[in-house]
Amino acid sequence: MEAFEHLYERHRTGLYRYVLRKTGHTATANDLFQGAWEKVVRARAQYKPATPFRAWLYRITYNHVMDYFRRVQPTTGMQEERLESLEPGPDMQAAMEAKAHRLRIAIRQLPEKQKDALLLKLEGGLDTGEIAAVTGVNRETAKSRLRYATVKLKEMLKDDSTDTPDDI
Amino acid sequence: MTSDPGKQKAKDKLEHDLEDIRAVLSGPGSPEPPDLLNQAVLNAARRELDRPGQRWRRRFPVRWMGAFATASVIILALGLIVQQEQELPGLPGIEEDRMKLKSEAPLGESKDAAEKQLISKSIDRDDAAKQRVAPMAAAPAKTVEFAAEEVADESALQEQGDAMEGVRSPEDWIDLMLELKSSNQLNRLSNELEAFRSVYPDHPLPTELRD
Repeated sequence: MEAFEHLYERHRTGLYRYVLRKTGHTATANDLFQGAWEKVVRARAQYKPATPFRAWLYRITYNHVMDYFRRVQPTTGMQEERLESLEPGPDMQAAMEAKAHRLRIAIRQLPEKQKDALLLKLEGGLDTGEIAAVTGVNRETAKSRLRYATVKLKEMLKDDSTDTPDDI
Repeated sequence: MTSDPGKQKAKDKLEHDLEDIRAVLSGPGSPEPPDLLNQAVLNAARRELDRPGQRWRRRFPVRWMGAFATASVIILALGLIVQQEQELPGLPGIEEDRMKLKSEAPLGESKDAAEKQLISKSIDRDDAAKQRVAPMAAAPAKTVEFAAEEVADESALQEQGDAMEGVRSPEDWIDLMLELKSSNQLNRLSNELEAFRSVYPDHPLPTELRD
């Protein structure tokens, strides 16, 4: 149990942010996050120490989230909640927070595959090879998705920088 | 690491851009899993890890048990077959007897006579073994098997000794005993020595055999 607590402490924040940014919905993210860890515990006998734990953890989580999206198509109500959650809060006045807010919105507007690659890199800290293994594509494809996502984000942020946060 | 400077530059730029994005994203106000969620995950993990039988299953994954059990049964079966083949009375001794008879038969005796002697000896040995085993029929099967093996070995030695009594000269017999000593077959040597002394009580023994 101590080993599990250690692993959980090390990976919980990154994994939670990955799931939250992937779903854009706090309650769903909480459920998926908990479900992913339960799957990790149940599948512990299948873990091979030769592979990095982080890549194995994110593969299980990625599959768990994908299963969820296949099972539950995004509904109108959820979309509304997602959009509502994008509204800037009263405390988001500082320039840095506004920038982070615009960035989160820009990430949500990315195509799903590019978003996956980017979030696995940013939140999971996975390298290109591990992203490729988790998402089931080859290394070059993963790298290309990562590059496109980065370029798009920069373009979006450049466009948004001319607007006020209220326009988002 | 790549050897192409252009690729390396593009890679560095990508890493730099990603680092910028990460810095913005992980600023103040970044989401953390709520404490209640942390507790829920840890409690669920504790329940799963403390479930009875989990330790055993982790050490011996179920998927290996079938293969392990099958392999064990096959090995046991093969072991039994090999053991039973070795326990068949008389078979291993026949070739040895054939060689001895060939070497020990008097010059005038024909090859056919030697073969006949070998066959009759083998039959006698089987009969003797059966007769000795018969009174033990009421004993458990395994005991009877071991007893039969023991009796067969004893009778083989006895029969060999008997056969040699009629054929061997003292010199040949001493040579055989010296060979037995050099090959460290001490049990058989003592039997031979005893038989030799009973047949030739006055014949002198070489110093190597006196001990």
